[in-house]
Amino acid sequence: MRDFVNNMIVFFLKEFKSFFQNKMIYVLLPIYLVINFTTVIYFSDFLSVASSSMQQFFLLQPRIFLIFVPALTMRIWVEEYKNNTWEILLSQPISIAAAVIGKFLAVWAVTGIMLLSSTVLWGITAWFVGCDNVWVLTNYLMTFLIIGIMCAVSAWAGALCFNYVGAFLLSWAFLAILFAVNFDNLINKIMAVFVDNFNARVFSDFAEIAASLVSGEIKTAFIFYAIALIAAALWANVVAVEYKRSEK
Amino acid sequence: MPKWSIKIVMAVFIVGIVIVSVAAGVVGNLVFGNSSVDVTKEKVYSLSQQSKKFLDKNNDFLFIKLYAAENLTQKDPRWKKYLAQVIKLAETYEKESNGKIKFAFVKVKPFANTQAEAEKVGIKEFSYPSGEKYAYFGMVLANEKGKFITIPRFRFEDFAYIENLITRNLSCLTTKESKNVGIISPAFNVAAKQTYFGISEEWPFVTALRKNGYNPIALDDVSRGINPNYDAVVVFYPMSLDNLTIYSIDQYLMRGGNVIMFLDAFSENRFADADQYTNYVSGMDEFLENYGIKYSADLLVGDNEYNRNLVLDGEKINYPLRLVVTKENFSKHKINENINSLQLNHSGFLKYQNMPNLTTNVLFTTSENSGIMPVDKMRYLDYDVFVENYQATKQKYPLAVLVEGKFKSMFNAPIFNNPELIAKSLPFLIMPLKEGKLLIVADSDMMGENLWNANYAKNHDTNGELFTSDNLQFLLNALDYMTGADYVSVPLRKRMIKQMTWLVFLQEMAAQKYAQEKNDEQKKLIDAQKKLAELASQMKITELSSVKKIKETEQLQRELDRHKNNLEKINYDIEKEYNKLFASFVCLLIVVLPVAVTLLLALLYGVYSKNIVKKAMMRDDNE
Repeated sequence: MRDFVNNMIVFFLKEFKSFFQNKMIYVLLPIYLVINFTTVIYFSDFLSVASSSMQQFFLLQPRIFLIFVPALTMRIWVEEYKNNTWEILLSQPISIAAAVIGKFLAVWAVTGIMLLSSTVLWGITAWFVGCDNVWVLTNYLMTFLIIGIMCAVSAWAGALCFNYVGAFLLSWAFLAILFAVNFDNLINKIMAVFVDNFNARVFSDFAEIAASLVSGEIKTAFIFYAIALIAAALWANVVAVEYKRSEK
Repeated sequence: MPKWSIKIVMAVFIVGIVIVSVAAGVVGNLVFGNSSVDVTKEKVYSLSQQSKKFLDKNNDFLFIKLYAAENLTQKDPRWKKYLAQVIKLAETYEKESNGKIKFAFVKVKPFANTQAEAEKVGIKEFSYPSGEKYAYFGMVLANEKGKFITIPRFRFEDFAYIENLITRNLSCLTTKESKNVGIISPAFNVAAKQTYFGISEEWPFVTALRKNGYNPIALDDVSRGINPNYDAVVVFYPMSLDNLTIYSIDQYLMRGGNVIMFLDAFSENRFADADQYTNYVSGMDEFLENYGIKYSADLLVGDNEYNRNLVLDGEKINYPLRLVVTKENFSKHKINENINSLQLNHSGFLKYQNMPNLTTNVLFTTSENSGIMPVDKMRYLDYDVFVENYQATKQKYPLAVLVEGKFKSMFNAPIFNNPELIAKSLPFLIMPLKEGKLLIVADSDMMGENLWNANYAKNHDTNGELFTSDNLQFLLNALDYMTGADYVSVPLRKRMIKQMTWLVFLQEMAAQKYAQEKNDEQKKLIDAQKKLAELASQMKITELSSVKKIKETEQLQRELDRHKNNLEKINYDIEKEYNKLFASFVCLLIVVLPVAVTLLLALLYGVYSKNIVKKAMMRDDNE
């Protein structure tokens, strides 16, 4: 277990530093901030409608990261495949799961830095206009969790491709599917058959769950949903890497 | 690993996402249900302590039935969220009631039995913004005996009051009998029974009493005394009360009665001005002095700090006589629980001294930044007269006083000699039988609908109240306290404070820059308008205008136009300043911040890498 954690940390640091060494973060971060603040100002009612939770800002985040998460995850496996370093890595007595989790955490940490950089808006809003700081802080954490799901799913998709463009497009497609999956009506109808006076609930509508998590009321079921989805995507990522290895 | 083609693997993985996403949602919902954490400062998603206490104490079986149109959530995404919040709230009641409350949700379909059922129980139909009909969104609360209370419709503005409405109405359903409240209102027929064209003449605060577990009864004839079985008596603007009525109130208090009295110094003087009416004064001075209360029938009180503005010529003007009582001016008393603000209009004030056997409590006052003015100067609501006569006094004035204890009579004997009346009326008491309660409020306008119900402006919307202040809640709290009713007063979910927005902030910043200039120009404009009006009236009297006067008028008109132009220019400058500020704000967010944050990050990483290199070099050196 100790080796597993140590290996995971090694992968994490290597991957995390690579974002700085190849200057990718310095390109993505300003683009993210410009897109983020532009959409907040011009495509939401953030400036004109009072909200003590900056909800309009947080509701936009999953959609904005829909571009950035594939851009960040596309290279984590493709680079290994291209440089043939992954064969060397996998020939070592290292668990694939440690590599998958380490790389996922590195991407997630980078998205965390990007999200953290937007706290400037929180600072000036709290100072000049006023907001419910605990609620905003919770919204940041919940948005980070939602982006975690996106990173896990995107990394999984990226593991299936050998080139950057393919990895980006496939990651984006997987995330689009995640956003589109909504069988709530069907599930609610089935549940209503079995449970008396059953009230409709949200089960798998990703956009709705993301919105609900920043509404100030954090449902345990949705936290479970996020963690379960991250775990499942990471496990699938391990399977995908195994598959790639067998394919070679 | 099996040797599947990449296409099959992709397909399997895509199906995998769908299955995992749905499975995680379903399992999470089944395992954790609706459990959640409310992280909001105002706890907007949790039941208040008062509601929880009521649910703990309640032993009756109650039912909550929510009616919502089948297509409600499709019409506007906001309805979806609102409906989910109401469902969540109702489910919380059910969950925390130890099985005593059952919740059901009925989807109302057009032309189906559900629609007929909803209409039968009083759910009000409304139209969607698109004009389409058959929208229903209301609630019925019932007990097992079949008694029910309907909340005809939920509107977006009602969200703050939903819990308040539900808990209070549920507590009314658990009470065995409603409390009788007698109403003495000689000036206005506030508890009128008749209806004209289906509209009740009853005042909304009386209707609200009925909805909240009380049974209001108009006391038109009190010649035989007030029945001591009445739980409380509300005396609303006691205009020219005869001795017999005062005697009845006096005797009722001595029998342990509860009296709430809304006085009105302003109306007494305003109506008294009319020639045909001479006796509009309350006549309560002697009665109140008997209990140590003195009422300022000749002075009005204003609050320079907490008031509602007056709009004169399109400009908002500070008008102290429209009082707003805020939290800091309430004393700590059960009646004041969950009261955030009260609104009064042209109120008098009270003085008090402690009397033997009586406890006196001041419930609320003006702030220290107050003032007074003679009431007779204010008959015609003229702002200039107000400015001339209002005096800032920098002291607090009590506006509501509660007296409790054994009241002594102001009469020495029954006031009537008619033996028949003596035989029919209640026996005269010279010594008190029980402890009574008397609440005196220095303004009767407080119960006027315009000061607490926003629906007043909407031509008496039949869909219930839309609270703008806690005036009604204060009356309910007072009745609950005085009658010992076990009804529940629940705090609002969110206070009615408008939060600042970025655009308003920028507009205010821009306006602030030119505030002084604008004020000066406005004053000059008003002066010029006044002079012009004066001149016009002089010319009207003399009929023949002199050349000098005409020239003077022309000059003033030119001055007026100049000031108007100047004001327009200032407004234009404010707009320009606002645009400049907005552009700077956008520039800061879109250009400066991204560059600054990126540079900072690069700097931090640079320092970090330098340290690493340094450490590595030192390690090499050591080796």
